[in-house]
Amino acid sequence: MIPEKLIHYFLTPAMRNQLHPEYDQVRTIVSGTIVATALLLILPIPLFFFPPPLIGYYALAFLGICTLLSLKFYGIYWPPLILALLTSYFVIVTDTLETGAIDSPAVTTLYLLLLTGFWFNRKIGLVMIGLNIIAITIIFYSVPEASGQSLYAVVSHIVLTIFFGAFFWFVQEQHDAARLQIREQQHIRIDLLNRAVKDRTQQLSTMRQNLASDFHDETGNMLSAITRQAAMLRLKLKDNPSVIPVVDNIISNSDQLYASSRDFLWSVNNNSDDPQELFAYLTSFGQVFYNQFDIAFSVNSAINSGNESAQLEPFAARHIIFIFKEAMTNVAKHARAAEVVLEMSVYPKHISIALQDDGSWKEPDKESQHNGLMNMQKRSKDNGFKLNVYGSPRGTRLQLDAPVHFTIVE
Amino acid sequence: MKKRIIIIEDNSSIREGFSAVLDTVESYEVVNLYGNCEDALANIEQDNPDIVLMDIELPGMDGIAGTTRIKKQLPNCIVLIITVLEDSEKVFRSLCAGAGGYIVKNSNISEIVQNIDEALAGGAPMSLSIAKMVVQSFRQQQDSPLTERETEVLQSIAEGKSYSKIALDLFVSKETIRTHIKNIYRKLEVSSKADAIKIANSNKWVTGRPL
Repeated sequence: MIPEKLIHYFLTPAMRNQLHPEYDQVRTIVSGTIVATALLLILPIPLFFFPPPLIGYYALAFLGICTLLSLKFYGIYWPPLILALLTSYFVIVTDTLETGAIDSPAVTTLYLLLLTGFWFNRKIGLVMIGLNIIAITIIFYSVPEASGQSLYAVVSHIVLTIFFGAFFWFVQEQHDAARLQIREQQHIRIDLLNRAVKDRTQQLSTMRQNLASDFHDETGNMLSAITRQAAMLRLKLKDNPSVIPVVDNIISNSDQLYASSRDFLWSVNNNSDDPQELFAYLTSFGQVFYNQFDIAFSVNSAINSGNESAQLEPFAARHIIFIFKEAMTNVAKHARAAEVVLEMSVYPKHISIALQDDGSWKEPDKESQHNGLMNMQKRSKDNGFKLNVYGSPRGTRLQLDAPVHFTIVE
Repeated sequence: MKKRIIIIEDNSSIREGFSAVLDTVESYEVVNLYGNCEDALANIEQDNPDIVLMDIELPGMDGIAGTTRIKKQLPNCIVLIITVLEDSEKVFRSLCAGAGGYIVKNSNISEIVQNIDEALAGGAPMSLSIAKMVVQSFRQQQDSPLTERETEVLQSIAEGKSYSKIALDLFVSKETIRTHIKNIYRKLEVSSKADAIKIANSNKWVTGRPL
């Protein structure tokens, strides 16, 4: 009923953690105090027309506010709460004395106070059984002409106090025990889940390592063997020009398979959703690639430090790699560029990777089969990237924006 | 005079593939092919190679230990690692053991020839991840043996710049960059010799692979 926000407002930041051992207790105190203070401010109004002063109720409301504030700012609640408790006794005892001492209906308020005490904390409740008995005794002795009738009333009140006290104590204990049991079961379940997740992660990382070493020992060597044998074949068949294209095709296919296996392997074996890792991979490719030509290649990235790290959508990295490899190859093939720069910027909702060259932009030939750019556009559209190409005679900029979300790194 | 080459590689298709390609080059002579380091070392004096193409994963002694042994017997011989992945830690360890560079197994003919020619001329390729490992290796030492220029070149490679870009930035030729890289490799070998010996000893010259 009380908004969670209001309760949390009065808790110290450390207490807001639900796993804090005192969370339950403090939460009960806060919600109880809020309700009690609000009621204490409103309800005594009808009593305004009767003689006993209302100052006691408002003193209690004030102490309630003190409790909340001291909890918020100092994280302590016992001193104002004990003060409120003692004030309550004072208010009830004076009220009782003014309305007929031990025979006053106000005596029953003591039972309700006792219930409130148990509701807060079992130990307070226990102490309050004693306090109630003292209060009853005080009320009895405050009136000089106490009679046998009054003695009966006192004894029955004391017996009832002990009865209700014991009853509340027992019920509360059962309640606590049940809560503890539920907690324990929750912990056991959490532990089980944690262990399962850990095992799974371990399995996954072993699988990744196996994949990597398998590629190295088996697939990679096999593909290299195909390339090497095809190259040998090409040498042997150099006088037979009709089959050369076939052999060249075998070599280029095996090269492509090798390259895409490497990209795939990289994406499973690394934290490829991290834009920085992706950028490092692209950088590494660009460097090796442009070292073959007289093209100056460098990178530029604005990486925001801090404990937040951007994360790409799953599987986005592989498509970004494909697009930029294609773009880098195109620059080397068509642009006659002398300098190429790869850039990355991280923004709150997306990252932007751009390839900038100083070559001449060549409008793709509509007639020819050259559909590299169209492939890139399609891939971008399918994966929710924004791809823009800004061409000019002084250079070309290909820019890709990919959505990211942020996670806090602990 | 023709440059004498031997190839140590356990996959026969790759071994013969490399051999066929290199045989077409006028200035090279492939003198022998081996499936393991032990056989190659037994004949190393007779073969007297200028260049050794060395695989890393081999039955028996691995390519890293093999490189150390060959460099000990023939200090002027250039060992080039042939590898599937150019950025593995094993490639870095071979470089520490004295290898003069590496060739990716999937390279095309012109790349292979270019790589070997560069190695003979005193240059060698270096990739970004290898550069990063080299930076780290030197950072662990108190006094870096690298000159200021070499440090700049190494730093630039680790930042992802291509040779042309580094040459532009430092106002030198690409050839000079290659010379710097060669010197970096040589200093890496010297400074990590102790480590390499440790690695070799712990491997007892033999990896765990059954023959």
